[in-house]
Amino acid sequence: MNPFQMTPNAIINEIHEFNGKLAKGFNTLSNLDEINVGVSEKEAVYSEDKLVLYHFKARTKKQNSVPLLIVYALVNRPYMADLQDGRSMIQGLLDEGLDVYLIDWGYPDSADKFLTLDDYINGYINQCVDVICERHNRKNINMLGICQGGAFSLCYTALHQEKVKNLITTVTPVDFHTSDDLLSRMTRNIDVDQVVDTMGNISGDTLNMAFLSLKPYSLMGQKYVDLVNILDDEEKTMNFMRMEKWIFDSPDQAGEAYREFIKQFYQENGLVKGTVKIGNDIVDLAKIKIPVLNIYAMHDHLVPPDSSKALEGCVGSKDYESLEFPGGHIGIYVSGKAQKMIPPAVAKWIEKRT
Amino acid sequence: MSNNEKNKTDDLNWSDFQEKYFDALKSFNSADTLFNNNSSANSFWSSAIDQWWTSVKTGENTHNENLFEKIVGQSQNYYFLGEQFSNLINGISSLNNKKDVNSFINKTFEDLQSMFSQKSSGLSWGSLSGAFDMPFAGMKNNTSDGMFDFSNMFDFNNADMKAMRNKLLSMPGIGHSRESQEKIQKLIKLGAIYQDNAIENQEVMTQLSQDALELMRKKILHMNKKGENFESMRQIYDLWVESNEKVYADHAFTNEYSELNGRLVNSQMAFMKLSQEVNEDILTAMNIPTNSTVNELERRHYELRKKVKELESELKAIKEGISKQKPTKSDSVVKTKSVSTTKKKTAKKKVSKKKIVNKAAKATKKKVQKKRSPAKKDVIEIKF
Repeated sequence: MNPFQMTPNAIINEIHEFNGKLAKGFNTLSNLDEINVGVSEKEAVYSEDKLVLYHFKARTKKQNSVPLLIVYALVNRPYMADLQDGRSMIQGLLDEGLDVYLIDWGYPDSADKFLTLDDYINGYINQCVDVICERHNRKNINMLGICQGGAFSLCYTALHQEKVKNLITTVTPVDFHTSDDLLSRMTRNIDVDQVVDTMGNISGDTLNMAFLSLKPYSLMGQKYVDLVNILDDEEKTMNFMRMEKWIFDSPDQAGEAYREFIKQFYQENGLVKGTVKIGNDIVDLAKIKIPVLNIYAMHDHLVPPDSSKALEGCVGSKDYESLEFPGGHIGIYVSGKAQKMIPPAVAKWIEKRT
Repeated sequence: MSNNEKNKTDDLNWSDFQEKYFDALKSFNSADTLFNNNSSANSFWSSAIDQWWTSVKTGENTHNENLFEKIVGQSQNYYFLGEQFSNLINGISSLNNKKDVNSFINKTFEDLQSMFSQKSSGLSWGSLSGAFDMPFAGMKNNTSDGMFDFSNMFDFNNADMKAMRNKLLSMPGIGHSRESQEKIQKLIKLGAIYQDNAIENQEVMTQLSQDALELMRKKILHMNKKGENFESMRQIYDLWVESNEKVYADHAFTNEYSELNGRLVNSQMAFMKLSQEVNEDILTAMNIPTNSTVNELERRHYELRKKVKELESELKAIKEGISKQKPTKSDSVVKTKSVSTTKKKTAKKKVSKKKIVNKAAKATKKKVQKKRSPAKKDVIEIKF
């Protein structure tokens, strides 16, 4: 038997076809408009240093009375949650009648290199929560954490539970030592003190390479061959470019916060062990008694499902629910499937507890 | 050419030229010419797209140019595989005995593995995975940003550098510059350690490329056994990607790789740290501000900023406390009624208002402390 059921000329034709798409694609890429991201209307209601707190304009006549604060990760930019019309988790949440706020951390520079996790969690997040509480004359709000922002939300809730009514975590790492966590394995033997002492802030490019190195052939190679096949379709190309912009739009990481996060969370697995120290306080997840909804992605290569699922055994809440999304780490925010599944589920869960 | 004469290319826009270039390739490229090529990474299509890209790349804006650079790089891998497998298919079709198919596949993969192991082939794990760098590899260039150019440290074949390194390392530091001499010696040692780790990493990656080819070969033979077959070049490319990802992931999950990755990054950082120190010594001697100077200023700035925030927060709480203790409307009615009280009474009132303010300030200060660090408050309570 011959497993290659094609002639050499068929291969040549396939490559010529590829070449044709490549040449046309060059034209498509040259004519693309500016890549716009972040579609939902919003206003800045508070700012401090590089941080800006946004409030999104309602899209329904009636809103849930408890505002929802989205805490994004320090890695990448928060417009991932509001990428484009029809591919926006925030749009979905607004359509479900939720009153949404979002923390944009901005781009830390050299002047921010000494910011610690205490500054981020007990400082910035706490300040944003106070601002929202004051605006709504409330004592507590709902909180939704994304990825590393989910870990921050957990820490914040454990330390300031009286200010959080309901907590939603999405693709949030909790157990950093699960057997399928490649990112964690790669950081295990790195002397993070030496890295931060040498580099100060950690560049976004460095983090990007670390993330891409989890699946180098697919994410740095195959993806671009796939792109050639859609270059004749301007809309699909634009969608690709939006994602590409997001992936490589990576703020640098404040050195001290990075040092603490890698050491305490990745290397020591402190969140499940109860050893993470933020400022003067130890984060004890068992202290979290408020309702928790934990959403994770089945095919997440950055935050393995088991890492997120570990939350159930850590929190002290009797009202704990989890939701598995059949997709990946990014798909949970931008895929068509996610738009239909995540915002309605979150809204329904909150509604029951308001 | 006169102004009236029209250039034959005037009717074509720039992008049409690009398409015509590839059309032209198609016209003189056939299976026959292709199969006369020897197996090399610099084969017909790869060279053609390389030439094309060299000629067009300056005409694009930076963002798209970067993206296209990636596409072109990956296209070259695609072409490379296309050419190798075209040769394989052509070879199979010319076999007299169809039973020899598997042996022919095995031989082709042996040749490919051999190509991957030769540095001169231009094939590397990095180039085929899309110019993949290690997470901290980009920093390699930063080491030569200072006054010294340390880039030669990374030239594995630089015999002069190695000879110089050995000489320097064997010399003891003497005289008033003994400390700086020893620092340089240590720097060179660290550079050599980093270099060794980088070579080790490169060797591992090359081995993984070969293991991936071996896995791909096994998968093809397995498919053949099951009667499954390839119907397009793209399927072959996807199998190549899948095999590489599998082999890479299997290895990346081992402790061995985690340790190597740690050694590589740590040795690079150690080298960079000492290079910074050496550069700073020179700058300090010239009274030029250094990275450490800026760091110290930034640290003080951070502490001040934090202090200001605390004070602002305390002030806000004090103001809130005062406003809460302000007389109510009914109190002010009473006050108006007793306007004609003596100066002594007014003075007493002022004193008592001051007391209220102090009381409020104390209460709010406690509140702020509670807000900022609840743990501290617990400690204070126990002490009392």
